[in-house]
Amino acid sequence: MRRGKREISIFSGKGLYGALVRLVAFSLLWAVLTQGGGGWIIGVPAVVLATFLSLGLHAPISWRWRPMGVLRFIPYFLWQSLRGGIDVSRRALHPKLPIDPAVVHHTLLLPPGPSQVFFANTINLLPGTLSADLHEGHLTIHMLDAGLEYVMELKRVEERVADLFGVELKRR
Amino acid sequence: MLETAAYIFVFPILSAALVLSFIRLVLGPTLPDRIIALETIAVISVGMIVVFAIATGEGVLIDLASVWAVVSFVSIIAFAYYIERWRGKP
Amino acid sequence: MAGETVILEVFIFVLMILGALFMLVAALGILRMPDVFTRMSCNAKSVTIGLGFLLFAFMLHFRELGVGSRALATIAFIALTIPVASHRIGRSAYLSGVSLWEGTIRDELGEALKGTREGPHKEDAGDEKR
Repeated sequence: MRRGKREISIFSGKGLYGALVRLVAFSLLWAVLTQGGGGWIIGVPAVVLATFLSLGLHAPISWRWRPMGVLRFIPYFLWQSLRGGIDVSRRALHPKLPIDPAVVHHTLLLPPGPSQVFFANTINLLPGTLSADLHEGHLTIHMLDAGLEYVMELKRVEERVADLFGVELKRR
Repeated sequence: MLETAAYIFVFPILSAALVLSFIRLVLGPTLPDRIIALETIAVISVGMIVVFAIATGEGVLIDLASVWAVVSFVSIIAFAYYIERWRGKP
Repeated sequence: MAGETVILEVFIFVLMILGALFMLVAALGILRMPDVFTRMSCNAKSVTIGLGFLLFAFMLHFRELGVGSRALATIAFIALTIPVASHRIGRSAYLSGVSLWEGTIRDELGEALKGTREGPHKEDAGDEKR
């Protein structure tokens, strides 16, 4: 992701902390994949290599989720993706193909940084939205059905993401 | 019982899905269309591995499914990078 | 698996059928939808839900910590990567100017901004000759 460099450089810093978090995360992943340990002779070099590679590819950014926010976000996300799947299936199976697509432009209320990227990726699984381009706080969204009250819907998702990251939404 | 049910009902549905996405892969007017069809085929094959694991009772096949998911994700990202250099030519 | 009750087996079967049907709908969607973006928004959601159902059936069938945790890791991985992948494809398709369906309502502000910003085309212009 070469183009994201500008956004990341603002949020860099805390290098050692970020590296440590990644080391722990990769070790945990190895433990899960090998059924709770075993094969650490291969595992330790692999984990260290993966940490260095990921640090080289993507500088550590302050990616903080609030624990309570995660607990509130996961059920909402699962429910909304189930809704999105059912909604899309209904449209795909309907003989008349009831779609009314539109490309809309949305100015994000979230502060710049990882929360915006997370929001752009999240709405891909929510009903009828697909993020096409994120550029300096402006998100281009492809809507499957422009008849939805999309501004209200996106605002609600933004509030959820802000709750997850513990950040404030900008006032309009 | 679950094994026969999987072979009689689930695999035919997944195979039909594979055939439909393959038609889009062949038809697809632009490169992104074909890449979407490829992504769908990859995820359907992951699903087939999972159903096969349930039908045969071989739990270790989940490793195969997760590795296949990782590889297909990386290839999709590589393809997306390739489209950015493709400049709208068919 | 030994000791599996009939009710659980039927439940696993229903989950498998639902997952397979969601995948069939995704395939049908990319066949029927008119342009890249509608195809992709149809595809990403149904496929994720379908694979989620299949892996959930897998977890219910085996009910072991080692295998189940790996299935859960696969679900998490899928739910994280499919949106990212479709965002990447959508972004590159949008920036490279793939034609939209004629019924699509377009947004003038977005078009204007797209015109002013530096696209990947200019950036890659340097390594044109090889």
